Amino acid sequence: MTPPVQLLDTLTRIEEEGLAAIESSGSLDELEAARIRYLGRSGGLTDVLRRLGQAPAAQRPVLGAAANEAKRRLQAALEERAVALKRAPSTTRPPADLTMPGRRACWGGVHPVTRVIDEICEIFRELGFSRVRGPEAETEWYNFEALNIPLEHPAADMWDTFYLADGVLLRSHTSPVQARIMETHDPPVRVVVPGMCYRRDPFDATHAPAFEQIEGLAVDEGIDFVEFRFTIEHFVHRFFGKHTRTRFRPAYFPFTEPSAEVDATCGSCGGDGCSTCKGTGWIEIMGSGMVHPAVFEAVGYDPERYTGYAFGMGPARIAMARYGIPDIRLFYEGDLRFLEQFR
Amino acid sequence: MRISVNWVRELAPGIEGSAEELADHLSMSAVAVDEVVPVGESIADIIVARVEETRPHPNADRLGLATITTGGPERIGIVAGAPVRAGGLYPYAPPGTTLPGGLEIGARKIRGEVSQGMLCSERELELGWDHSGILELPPDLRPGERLVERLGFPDHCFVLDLTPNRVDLAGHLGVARELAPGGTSGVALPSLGMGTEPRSPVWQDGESDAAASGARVVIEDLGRCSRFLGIVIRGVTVGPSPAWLAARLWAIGGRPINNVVDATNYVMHELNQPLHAYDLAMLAGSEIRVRAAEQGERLRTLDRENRTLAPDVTVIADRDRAVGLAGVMGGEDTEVSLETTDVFLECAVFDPLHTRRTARHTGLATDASYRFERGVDATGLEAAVTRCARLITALGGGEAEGSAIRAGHLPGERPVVALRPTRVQRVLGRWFERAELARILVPLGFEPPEGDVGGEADGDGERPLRLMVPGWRGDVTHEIDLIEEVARRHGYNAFGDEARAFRVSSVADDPAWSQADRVRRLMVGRGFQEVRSASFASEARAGPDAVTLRNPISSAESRLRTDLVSGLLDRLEYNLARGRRDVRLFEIGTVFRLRAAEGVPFEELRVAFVMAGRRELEHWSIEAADIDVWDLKGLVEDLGSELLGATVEPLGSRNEEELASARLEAAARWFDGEVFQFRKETRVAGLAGRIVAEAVDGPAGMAPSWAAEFRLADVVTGATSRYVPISPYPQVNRDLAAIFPLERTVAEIEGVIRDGAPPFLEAVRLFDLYEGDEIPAASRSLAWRFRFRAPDRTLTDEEVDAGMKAIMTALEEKADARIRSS
Ligand SMILES: [Zn+2]
Repeated sequence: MTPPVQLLDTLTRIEEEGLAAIESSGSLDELEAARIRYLGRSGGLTDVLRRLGQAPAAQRPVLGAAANEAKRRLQAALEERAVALKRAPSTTRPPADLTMPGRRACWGGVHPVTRVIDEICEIFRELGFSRVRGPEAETEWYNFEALNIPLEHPAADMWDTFYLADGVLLRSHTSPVQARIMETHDPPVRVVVPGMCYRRDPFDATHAPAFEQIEGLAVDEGIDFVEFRFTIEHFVHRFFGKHTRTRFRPAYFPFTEPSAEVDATCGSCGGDGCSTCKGTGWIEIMGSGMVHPAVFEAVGYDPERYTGYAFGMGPARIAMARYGIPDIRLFYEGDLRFLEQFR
Repeated sequence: MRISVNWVRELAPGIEGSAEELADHLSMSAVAVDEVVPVGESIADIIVARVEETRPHPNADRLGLATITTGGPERIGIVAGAPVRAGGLYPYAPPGTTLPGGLEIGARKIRGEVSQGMLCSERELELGWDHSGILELPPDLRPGERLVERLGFPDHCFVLDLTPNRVDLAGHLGVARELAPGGTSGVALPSLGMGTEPRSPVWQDGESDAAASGARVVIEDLGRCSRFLGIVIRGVTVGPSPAWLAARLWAIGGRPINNVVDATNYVMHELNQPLHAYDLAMLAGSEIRVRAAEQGERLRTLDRENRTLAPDVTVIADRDRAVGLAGVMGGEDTEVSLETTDVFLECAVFDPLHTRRTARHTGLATDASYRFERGVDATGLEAAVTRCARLITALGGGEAEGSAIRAGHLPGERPVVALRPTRVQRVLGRWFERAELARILVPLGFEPPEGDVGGEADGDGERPLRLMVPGWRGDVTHEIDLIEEVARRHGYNAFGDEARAFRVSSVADDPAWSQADRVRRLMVGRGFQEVRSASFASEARAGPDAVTLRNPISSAESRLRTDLVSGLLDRLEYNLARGRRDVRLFEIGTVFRLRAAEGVPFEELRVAFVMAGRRELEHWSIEAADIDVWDLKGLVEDLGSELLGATVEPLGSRNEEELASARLEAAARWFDGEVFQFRKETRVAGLAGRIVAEAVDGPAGMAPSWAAEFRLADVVTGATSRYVPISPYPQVNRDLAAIFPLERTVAEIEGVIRDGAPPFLEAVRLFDLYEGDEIPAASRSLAWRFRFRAPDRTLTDEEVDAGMKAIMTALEEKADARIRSS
């Protein structure tokens, strides 16, 4: 057992050696080595403190106080030396010109249309809609007939379609996924379907032969026009802002009835009329309506039991209105000077 | 479709409100009005003038001189830019007036002759597009009259965005019914100066063959034409139409031709029944046959085009030849001309599908074909043809024969559709009383059948409303169609908006979208910009087994892409051409391939990126180096581990079979030299590498571009990680450098290291490659840092030394190593 006096001597020696080592450290690495040696978990001072418990009870307070005092002094010296070492180089160089540009990282960005799609989907996901998809190369059955569109009927002219083979085409809207989902799932169905669609419209300022669409579908017992209106208005408020007003106008889509075109007040002029909205104060944002009973029949749902609503919108058109983009072609050229504006 | 507001008001005098208000009302309750065009608003100063005499311009062959009068004694000298005839009436813009286009008229010298104002063309008055000549005005005008008043202008024209279901709104009567207070009860046909006594002919009926008044109609195929009415009018004087009729046609963008043709057009735009007038004398055998065209049969149509027909086309023929395209356009040979005296007037029901085929075959889309394709009112033929015959005789004299032809099927009973108030509520979410429903629907022409007291109770004890559909609403066939009528007439925006019970969707998310989300987050963080492009490719850009479009827009877009890299290279070039040096793009999109067995091609979502330029953003402190193979490899290794759960290895020699089974040959075309593959279990999941230099058209001396492509479906989304306990014991680091023959790859050597190492080797990191002077030829020095740590104890120096020794022995024995230092 170590006599107390010896312990006190050890303490003094450790402190002196430690202070000397700290003082003579020429770099932060050396300073760290000194810290580990004298203050570290298996360092000299820690060892003394550990051995305190073996000293006679009466002397423990004195020894303890001395040990803590030594530790405090060593730590103070360590910090002082660390500051001195860190400061050293700055004395040899003038302060930097902090107006010079910093070193930036290279960041990318998502496409503005993707951003709109994501925002739309997010709002509908909060309302319990799942995100699904379907094939872009489709059959006439899903693209037309299952949606109550007879092939040789003027209604089919609403979509100028690319054909790949007999009865096989590039889908002209995302609506075929409605039929595909209902065929394979029982109600309640609540889905949004983002995806590419194709129409034989040559590229111009407002048309693209391939473009994005988001389809929505909700089907169950007891879904009515009132709930449909609520859902769409809720979406418009969330997406375009609380002060945006919505209006529903009669329209015709073979797969919905009643069908409605939905307008939102123009964001550029707040409804007063401007060039964006061609003076009307309204921007057309989606086609929609209550699912036609013939569609339910085509997919094997009982049209007497189930009702529902469906809608479709073009995120590129919405992005054009939102960001003030005059030409839809800008989205698909891949020009970085354009795309980098939407980060 | 164009609708004149004045015309509608004439049909329904109770209509009030401005054109804009009426347009709004239509848009919100029936059909979108795209535009409200003012008609004749700016011709207020135009005066009717009569040409007294004409003579040639002395100094210009193309100009003429005319003396005109505007009713007074004054004779006015005019230089005319196009022929006029003495006695004709023309629109005259006197000096001081402004034409609709903004042109100010004065007294002007033209090639030495003074013109006191000018005579105007149709286009200068904005009454049409014709600018080839000066507009000759209807003969019932008087010199000096103001044109605007005599034409009943100003008017407004609605441009309707007509939907396929509401063909009834292509006619003015249809629009009048929508807008009139009281609906059908608020409309009445004007007499148009025909007197009040309608004289109905005696109909000579026959199914496929009927004759009357010296004419005969044969319907050879009742599938193509279900009903055909014909009236013979004799002794007509064909001439120009009066001002009121010309004005109606001008207002809707049409143009007057002659009184007979104009009468048929007028009644078509009024009652929505297409009519056609033939010069009876030109019909061989005074016979009309409706039949399929013969293969190669020829016809010159009213638009002066020679057409070659096929059996797909339905024609009107006389005894000898085709004289018109049924339901689409008449023929030139039998057209009504100034010499015509006897007219055969046709009003028929042509089958929608056959009309569509006829129109498609000839590339024509006419006012008539538009209506027949969508379905005309089979119950309205008698009214239309007799009204038109009366109008023709009122305009051109002559007399309609008292006996007329009626061939084909009788129109069926008007269909009755049942409407359940409970069903209305279930769809629309609002209760309508039966009386309320009737109040909405009866004015639209939906009437309870005579003697019907509201129908019998159905199984649920509900008494549906039974309503007879009017002939002009062929689009209404089911209960849901009536529900839509109720909704739109009640007003879509008059319904409430309430949240209903929340329902959990039975459909799960498709993983592709969250996979795409992950890809985007990672790629954006690594400095890549997302692009989107159409899925088309040229034949040259499309890879093997590309899907060909049957009806492409252009040959550059005639195939569907088989890989994404090719499109990204186009986008890369686009940016290089605009002076960009650093380009990092990625795309998530669909690729397509022919599938031998079925018609529907194979398709899948892919991810691809391309990068070119420098490793880092430019900064004044550094000289940024070009992207090299190690930047690419590091990135794809990160993608492999972060996204795909795949390893990355060099694609030594192209394994065609593996690429084919992964459907990646199309992307593989673009890679050359330094190429990697993503390997997921035993499968190739993607490719990455240096782009073939010739594939990118960039600036001279451009460093290589790099790209990768992989399947989106291989992106891992679920949490697959497992916790590994963290050792509380210290690590021990050791370095080792050794010389190896060049043919030993690092992957191979590290394999030897792992095999020979003790279990407590935690990590190996290559930190140096040296190929300097001190190193023997065909070899290189490689140096690794080893990290040792045991999970259960502090390692002793002896243990680590023994471990290093084992590694060195293994390297010497199995990797031909010469240890330099350790
Ligand atoms: Zn606006």
